[in-house]
Amino acid sequence: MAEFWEQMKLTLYFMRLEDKYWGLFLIGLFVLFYLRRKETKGLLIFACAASLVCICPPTAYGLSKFLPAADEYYRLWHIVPAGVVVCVALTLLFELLGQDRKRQVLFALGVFALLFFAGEFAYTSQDAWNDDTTHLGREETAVYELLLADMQKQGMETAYLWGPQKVMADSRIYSVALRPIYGKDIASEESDYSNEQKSMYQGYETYAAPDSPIDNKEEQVMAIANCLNVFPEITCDYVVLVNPAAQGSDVDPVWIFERLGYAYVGETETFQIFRRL
Amino acid sequence: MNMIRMAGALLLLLCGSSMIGMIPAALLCGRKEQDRHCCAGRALLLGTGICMLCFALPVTVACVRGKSFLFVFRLGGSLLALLLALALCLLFFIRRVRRFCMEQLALLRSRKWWISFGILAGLYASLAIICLLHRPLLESRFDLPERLSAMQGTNLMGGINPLTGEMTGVSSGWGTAARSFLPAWYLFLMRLFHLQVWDMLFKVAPLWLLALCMSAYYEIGAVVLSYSAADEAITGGQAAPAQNRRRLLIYMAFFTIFTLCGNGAYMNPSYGLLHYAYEETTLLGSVLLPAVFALLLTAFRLGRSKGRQVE
Repeated sequence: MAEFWEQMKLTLYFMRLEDKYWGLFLIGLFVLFYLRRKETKGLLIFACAASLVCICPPTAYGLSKFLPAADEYYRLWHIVPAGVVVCVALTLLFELLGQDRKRQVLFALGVFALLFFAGEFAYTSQDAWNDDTTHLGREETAVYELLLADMQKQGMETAYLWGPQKVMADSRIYSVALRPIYGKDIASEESDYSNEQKSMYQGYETYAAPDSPIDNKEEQVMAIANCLNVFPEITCDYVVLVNPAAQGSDVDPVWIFERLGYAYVGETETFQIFRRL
Repeated sequence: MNMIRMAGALLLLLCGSSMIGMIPAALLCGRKEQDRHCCAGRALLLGTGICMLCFALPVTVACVRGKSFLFVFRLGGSLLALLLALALCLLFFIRRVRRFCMEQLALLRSRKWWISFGILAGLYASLAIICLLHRPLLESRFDLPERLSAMQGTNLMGGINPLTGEMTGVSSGWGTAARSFLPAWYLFLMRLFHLQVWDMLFKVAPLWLLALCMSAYYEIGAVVLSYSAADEAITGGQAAPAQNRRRLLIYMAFFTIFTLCGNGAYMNPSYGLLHYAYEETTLLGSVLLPAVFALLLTAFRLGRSKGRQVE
């Protein structure tokens, strides 16, 4: 029984992968052709046309030229013909059951169970409930409010900002007056950014993330300070730092950043903000 | 107040487009009984397509000629208002269209259709609830919220890196037009109804796209599943429309489960239907391609049934 369960789990794991669409598509077509030969005519026309369009080079060229994430265009094939074929196959199978309610209910439950376990339900997907990676967080909003208030006080219309990834990533949605020195796409589109910006990003990635494996908080702050010191050519009006005190460290970033020419602006529960003098 | 504004935007997107789409839908619909199914989805798809094509004109002109968003707002708004007024006039003055609309309204008198509508509304609601309650991931490489925000803040159609605010130097061209179209469309509605970026992208857009996606799949199913039923009807067989309606509802139920469980979605652009509904890839993968196929299949089937009539 345990072996069977392990095998089942393995099968479901493979069904979760992309290739399942090929399998489901072919199974769907086979079922349709075998059981309802007459009724597959329209579906075959649709499947062929959809496949042809989705694998067509002009489509690929057009998409790659004008659309973001076009490298994933081939996945359209999965949803457009495969989804329809599988759903139609299920419908015709359901009809074959006749009027027996018990069999219909069992069939529907079986299909639901299979699709549920083989799929990725929206609410079980990773990060769906994680406040740190979704929506504008309360802490981030507080940081932007503090920054904008200080900018207004200083008479600044726009300001360059460097801070934790989440703070930088959402800043442009909150206000266009905030200008992060690199975008949230730096991890995937590195070529768009200068070497200095990439170094700063790597510096942040290595040392300053709140969940960094490096436990020495003093080292984190020093790494950020060092980056700012090494790349003075990059204008950075504001620095947002994960407050070491909030991480249980007694390092005093105010002392360090004042020596780098930054003034303490304020802090939230998790972050400290500094402005270049 | 915000809820009323959002409802207004959604109502305009769905009802306004459907009204415009009723005219081509009436022309596409055959005279045979088996073609007289509910065409609200087809009208919505056609109307939305026409509106978007109309709106694409000022966006393209603005991007190629380097005009600001205000130009798009004024010209696009005027064009869409003109289109809506024209559609209303045609609905009243073209006899065939008027008759078609009356037939569609007459469907509402039937109890069976009310049950069908109820089931479809329930399926739509189950997906809509997931869309609305789900917290979208923002740290993706997609940047539409930033582009929308940048366009709103600067009134520029391009030439700006939305993620950093840096000037890119490329402010005009066809590429800019393609990338600016969807943000411009959303911003147009935001200005019209005084909506915020969050409300537009995470509340109005998912509901709108979901309706379009379901309409597209409904139309595909209507054509694909109706083949044998249509044959039976032509040869004087069973009551095909009723059989079709039942089949379609089962098909839509399976489609909803398929989507809800992430099967038609995981690791491909339609994943966005529940996660990043506002993105271009979602519009392309979950709405545009299925809609094009649905309309082509409808036209193909219409041609086929006309051919049979001639024979």
